[in-house]
Amino acid sequence: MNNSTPTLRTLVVTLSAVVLALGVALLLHPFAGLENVDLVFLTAVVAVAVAYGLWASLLASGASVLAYNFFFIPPLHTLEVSDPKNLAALGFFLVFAVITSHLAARARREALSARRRAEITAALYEFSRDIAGIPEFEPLLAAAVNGMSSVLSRDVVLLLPDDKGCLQVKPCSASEEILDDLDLETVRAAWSADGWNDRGPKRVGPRLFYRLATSRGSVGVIGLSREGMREPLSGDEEGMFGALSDQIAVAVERVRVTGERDAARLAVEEERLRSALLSSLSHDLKTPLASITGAITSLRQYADLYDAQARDELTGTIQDEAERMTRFVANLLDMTRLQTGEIALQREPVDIGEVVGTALQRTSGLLGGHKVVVDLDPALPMLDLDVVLFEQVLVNLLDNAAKYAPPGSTVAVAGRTVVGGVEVAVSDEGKGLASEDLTRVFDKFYRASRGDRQRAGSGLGLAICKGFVEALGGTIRAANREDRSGATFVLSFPREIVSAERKEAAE
Amino acid sequence: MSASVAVLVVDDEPAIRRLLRTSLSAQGYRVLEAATGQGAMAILVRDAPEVVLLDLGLPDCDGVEVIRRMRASGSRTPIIVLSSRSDERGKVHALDVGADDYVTKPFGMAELVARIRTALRHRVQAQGVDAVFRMGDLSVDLTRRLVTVAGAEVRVSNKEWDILRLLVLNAGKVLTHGAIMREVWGSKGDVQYLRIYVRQLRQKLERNPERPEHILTETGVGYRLRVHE
Repeated sequence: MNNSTPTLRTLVVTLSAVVLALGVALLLHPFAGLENVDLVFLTAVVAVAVAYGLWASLLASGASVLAYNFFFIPPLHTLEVSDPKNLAALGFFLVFAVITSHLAARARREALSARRRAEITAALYEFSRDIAGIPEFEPLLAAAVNGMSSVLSRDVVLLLPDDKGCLQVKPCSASEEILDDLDLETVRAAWSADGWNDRGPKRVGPRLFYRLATSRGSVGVIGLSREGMREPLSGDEEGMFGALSDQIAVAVERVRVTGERDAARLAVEEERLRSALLSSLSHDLKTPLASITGAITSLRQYADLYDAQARDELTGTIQDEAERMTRFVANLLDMTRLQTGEIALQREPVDIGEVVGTALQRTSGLLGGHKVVVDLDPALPMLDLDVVLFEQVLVNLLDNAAKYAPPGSTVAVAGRTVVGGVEVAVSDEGKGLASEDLTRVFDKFYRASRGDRQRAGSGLGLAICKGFVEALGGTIRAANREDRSGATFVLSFPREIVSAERKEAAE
Repeated sequence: MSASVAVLVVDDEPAIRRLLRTSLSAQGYRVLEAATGQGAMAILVRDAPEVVLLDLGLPDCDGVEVIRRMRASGSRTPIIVLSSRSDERGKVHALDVGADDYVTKPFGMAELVARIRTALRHRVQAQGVDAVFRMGDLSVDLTRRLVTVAGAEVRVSNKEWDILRLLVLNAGKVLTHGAIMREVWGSKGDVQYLRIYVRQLRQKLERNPERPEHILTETGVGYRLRVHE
């Protein structure tokens, strides 16, 4: 808003005020006398001063003097003044009007600036509250740039150093234009300025650039467009800008430090996984290799000592252990594919019953000692899945059930349609899971990391299940059975991946 | 029967070649070996083996390229691909360009020998197929269009018959979804229809449709009708 420069509207209103005052004065004059007429005009001048400031009120003063002279001071209807007494009165009126204008205008300025300060405080408060709660980098920068450009009504460009320390324009910046050479030079000057205190604007090109810094060092560079005549920032804006940019700098630093801390935590976690993988590798590869090597050397060196039954036992061991290694290596490969994101899904309508069949076929050796019950809703729709991944999920769950449920017990596979889609559950009659394990069983190496060595297995199978099921658009959860002891693993697939309805083939 | 049948093993792994040489020789096959695609092509021309076991990952070229060149040269020698699990697309691709079958590494010897026998039988029977297929309690009479399970006649629909007949003609061999659909529906096949028909066939032919013994699923590839071995 303009402070005191006259605009057309100001001009019109000011003159109208004077005309209104003139009207009132003409009406009052017969009753109140000449000596009170000037008070009427003075009222108009003060009103204009409060509303529009100094220049408007000076204009009102001038106009009032002319009107006062023209309509009330003899000779009437001329601008001449014959009586020196009246001349003095006019002079006093003018002086009084100008002083009043000054006082009223200053009062107005102070009121305005108080209001502006209140607005700034509110905006700053809102801004700091906004950016304090944002944990991620990009949203934080977007909020910072938006906040600043709306408070200052200028385009804001934010530049932060990348990993290599080169300043990069952040995409959230308001201005779409590319910075030109002159800008870049200014940016460099702002960035390389030394010390906490040298944060003044660097301006050569079309923008002003300031260094963003905290007490710990430079954080980045912020650029403001130079709008029209308002080249540098006004005093108010300067203060505002300083407060905003300090907050942005602190927030950027906070997020960066949090990121570093997360990276450190991640590194620790990766280290834990690496060592778990190593121990798993050595256990799950060495154990079967030891059995195989032992059996084979026995067979080759002492063939004569063994009867047919013993030989069969030894070769059976070799086959079992080789198959175990095969499964382990397949799991490692699956895990690697998951982690490197190398899973290209090939979705097609999949008949769940058919895949349950092939999964049971593949695990028939493992489940030889168990009873297997399949209970699939005959109306189960086909699902758009990657059949290879889905089969592997079922195989891993059946493998898991075979390991944890005692021989002779029943492993059940059930499939049914539910409100949200389709559920497939694999249940066993083992001991079930401790409640704190219900979610953690899907963590990689969770079992291995707890030193569970009783059963062969890498601790990868369920993690792969989770990864695959989620890649397929479903979820997996573990629960304990309610009807008896035992664990149930439930796969849920949403209705969206039910294959489009086709009429049942019938001729 | 297989006293002098020559089998060409194409694999760059000496351990695999050694294993196959030993076991197949013991089965009475004459084993030829190549470690590269180039070597394989040379032996194919020189020794005309009757069946080829081909690893897809060769040092000098893609195994699929060997299949292509063999088929382009007019050779109809059965090719059995040695492939790995989780490479279903590779298997389908190899079958599409002309391979006859595959075994997944690591494979059991019984399975490999069964595949070789099936491939050789289809080569021999390329013209005349037995009119009646028998396996367990299932019997399919191609000329009389008669299907019986444990002696009782089973009625099958036209499409079911088309699929079953195709499986019987290729008994023991894998058939990709694509190959079955092309044969039965022409170009506009739909794998969902195929699955529905196979499910219906299993309900009619299998003792336990959830654990099929006749029409086996080759996950991600297709179907195979089981034969005696």
